[in-house]
Amino acid sequence: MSAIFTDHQAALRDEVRKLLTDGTIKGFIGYARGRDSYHPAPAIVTRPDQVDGLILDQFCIFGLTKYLLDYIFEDGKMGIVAKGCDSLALQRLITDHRVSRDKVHVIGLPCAGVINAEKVAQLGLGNVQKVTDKGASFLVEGDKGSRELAKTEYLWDKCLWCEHHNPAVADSKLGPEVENVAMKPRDYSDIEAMENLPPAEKAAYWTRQFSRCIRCYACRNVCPACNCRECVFDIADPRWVGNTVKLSEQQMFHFTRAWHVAGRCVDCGECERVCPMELPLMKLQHKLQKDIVKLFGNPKPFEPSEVEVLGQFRATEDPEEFM
Amino acid sequence: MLMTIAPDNLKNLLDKLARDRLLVAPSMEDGVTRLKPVHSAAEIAFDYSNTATSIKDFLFPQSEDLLRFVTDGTLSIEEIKPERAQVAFGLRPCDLASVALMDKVLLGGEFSDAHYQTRRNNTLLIGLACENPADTCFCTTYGYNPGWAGAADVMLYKDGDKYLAEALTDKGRELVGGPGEGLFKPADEAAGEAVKKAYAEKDVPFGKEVDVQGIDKILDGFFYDQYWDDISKKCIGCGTCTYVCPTCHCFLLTDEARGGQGLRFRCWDSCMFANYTKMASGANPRPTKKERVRQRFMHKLNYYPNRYGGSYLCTGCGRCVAMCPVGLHIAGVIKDVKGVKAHA
Amino acid sequence: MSVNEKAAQAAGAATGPSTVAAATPAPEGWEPKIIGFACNWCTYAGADLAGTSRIQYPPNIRVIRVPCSGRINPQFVVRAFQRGADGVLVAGCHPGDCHYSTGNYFARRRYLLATRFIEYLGVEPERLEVRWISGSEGQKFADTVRELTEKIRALGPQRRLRETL
Ligand code: SF4
Ligand code: SF4
Ligand code: SF4
Ligand code: SF4
Ligand code: FES
Repeated sequence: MSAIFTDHQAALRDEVRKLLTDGTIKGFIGYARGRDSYHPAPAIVTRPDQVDGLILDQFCIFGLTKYLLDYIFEDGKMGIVAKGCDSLALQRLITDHRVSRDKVHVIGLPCAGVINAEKVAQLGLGNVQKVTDKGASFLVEGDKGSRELAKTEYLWDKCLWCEHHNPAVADSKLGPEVENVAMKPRDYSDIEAMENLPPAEKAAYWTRQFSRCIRCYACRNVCPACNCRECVFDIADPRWVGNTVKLSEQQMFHFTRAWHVAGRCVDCGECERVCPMELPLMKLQHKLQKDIVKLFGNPKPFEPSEVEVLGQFRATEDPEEFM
Repeated sequence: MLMTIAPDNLKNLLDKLARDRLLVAPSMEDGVTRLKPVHSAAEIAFDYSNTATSIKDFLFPQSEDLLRFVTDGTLSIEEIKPERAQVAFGLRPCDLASVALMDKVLLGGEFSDAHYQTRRNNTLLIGLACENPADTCFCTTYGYNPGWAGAADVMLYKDGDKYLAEALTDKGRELVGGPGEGLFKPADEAAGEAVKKAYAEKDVPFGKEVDVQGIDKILDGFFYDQYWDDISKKCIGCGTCTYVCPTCHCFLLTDEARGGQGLRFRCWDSCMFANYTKMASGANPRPTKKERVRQRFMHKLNYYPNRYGGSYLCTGCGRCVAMCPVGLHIAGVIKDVKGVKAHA
Repeated sequence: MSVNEKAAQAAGAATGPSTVAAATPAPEGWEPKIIGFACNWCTYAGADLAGTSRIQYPPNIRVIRVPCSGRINPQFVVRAFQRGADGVLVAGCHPGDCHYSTGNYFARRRYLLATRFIEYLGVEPERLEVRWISGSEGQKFADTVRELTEKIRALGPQRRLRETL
């Protein structure tokens, strides 16, 4: 039995209270209870009296790092809690020179996987009272029932193939590091299945998906790789991408969003997770990722590096298909 | 007059309607149940609590062509009228209530919105009372309820193995007497009234938690409160809340022209977008998330009731509760402002 | 009709497979329309050479001159399809010959990925052609255009990414 996030809640509050009181940070980006016990919400606290609202539990999936962009023009440091995957997102923002490392105080959270609340919320367990890590499973006890849930079935997909369980960027850590092994290999079988469809069926599939998009831009706004100072979708003159929801603009929006983060996406899955219309956006990111691995021999394009995959080349080793 | 209709007859009626007009109904696609155009009753989802998107998509669409123009030396303008008849089936009470709120803005007063008016006239609204309110529903907060018929032309209530039906407008009566002829049967009035009453009194647990009474007055003095600063920090400024809301109605007018052909259209805009209030000079009167978040909730809970007499610009449909990615929603704001802590 | 409704109609409005991509025969007299993005220093010169050498090639291509293949953003390709192209040619100097030394090496990486991605979205791969054509390769330019035109003629009009104002 290993520790779960909730075990670190008290320590987190203590540390945040201390950091706020001694002036190390001017604000802290963490989690608080959301609309129910399955959906913790981001919370940004600036005063010690708000600290007791902070929580940590095994549903804390939201990647918080993008909030740091709200503070880059202000003095002082922000504190943030970051799991392994969140620290990749943070590295993304740092590598892109959008956030400077010395303006962030990172409380690292070693993480063996987060429970997919969307799956668990449907089980009718009611208000969750307690979660216990049983090794291969979680025991979730709610006021209407309890269930032991196999991790391979109830964790978020990205947690199953995660190889970054321990935060790569941290000023302090909550609890000991966890074993850094993937529960299963990265799986591109859904991408291959799509590649094998005839063009007409591919087009039909994406038309159906893109037509459902409401252009709320939640996917863009949550994405740590979508961090341009001015977004192409917001520029009114010239209007590169129209703001109507006609199919051509939907296609252009989705092509551009996915393409602009090709080779820079950290595979956090947040775009797809926050989409209110449940567009399978990771099917786009994973296609790009899979091809990058194959074409450019970069086994982990989701790990931020100073020079991006598409910002470099190898004159003689890159495949030549255009002779 | 109360009637009943058997599920098969209802499906026949909808199939018949789909032949000569756009049939809009709840339909499940890739795991999302939303209101969308369907070809036949076979595509309709009958088992849903509420749809992800609302009737607004069809009365005040996300983008709408208004006129076409030609600029080949001369200038000719052709107005585009949304003439196609539509029938929207399966609208929940919160959406039926939202139509009345939108009417006040777009049809009330000195000017009325021609396109909205045309669509309203061309659209038949068929409501369906809620059997199982979701745990994000709080229509009762505003005095609506799971049986509320609002702007419906025909209201349906599932009653055992059949539907109780009531035609509430001329359009609704034309449906029953026209395409619906022979499909409806008279209902026992007393039993029917009992069914309606049961729906009206159905329990909406979340609604009990959220008490809006008097919030418009409290907010009169709340504009400068620290609260807006605190809660707005977590907003990511997406348009989810405003786009899924059946009562948000901000829009943007744009012309696009290419090769001598031009089009004027409008699209939804969102007060939550940073560039919504940005002016040509670059100045922005709502420069931070604080002003934008405050605007959304003040508009719904203070400005609207002050301007349009009483009702709030929210029907408790719960879409923003369920879909805001950061859990920043109107029910929580109401609770907070009334002193019951909801948002951290 | 609103654009929603148009999109919905285009998408077939139904949950089943969309009808947007249904093969409709090419209209009478249809000729493939090809947009060619050509770098100023090699391919454009190659096209010029084809002309001055009187090498025949189909008039279906409309050439857009750009400074370098590194300037050809894949979004241009998507837009070209949307605004009426049935096929797109992206062309520049041979690797090692780019006037700006490395523009085409970046373009090569980009298009290795972009061709696959655009195909993944449902556009037939034959419609997007990337070629290195030097200033002395007038014949290669002409051959490339001829082959591309014939491939697209066989495929018919491109409708998947088409828009109307
Ligand atoms: S979050 Fe979803 S609905 Fe919103 S813009 Fe992105 S893909 Fe579209
Ligand atoms: S594209 Fe999606 S998965 Fe990739 S970094 Fe952005 S939000 Fe994360
Ligand atoms: S504010 Fe939220 S609950 Fe109210 S009508 Fe809009 S989406 Fe529904
Ligand atoms: S309140 Fe929520 S849904 Fe609305 S703009 Fe903010 S993050 Fe998006
Ligand atoms: S100048 Fe020809 S490809 Fe760069």
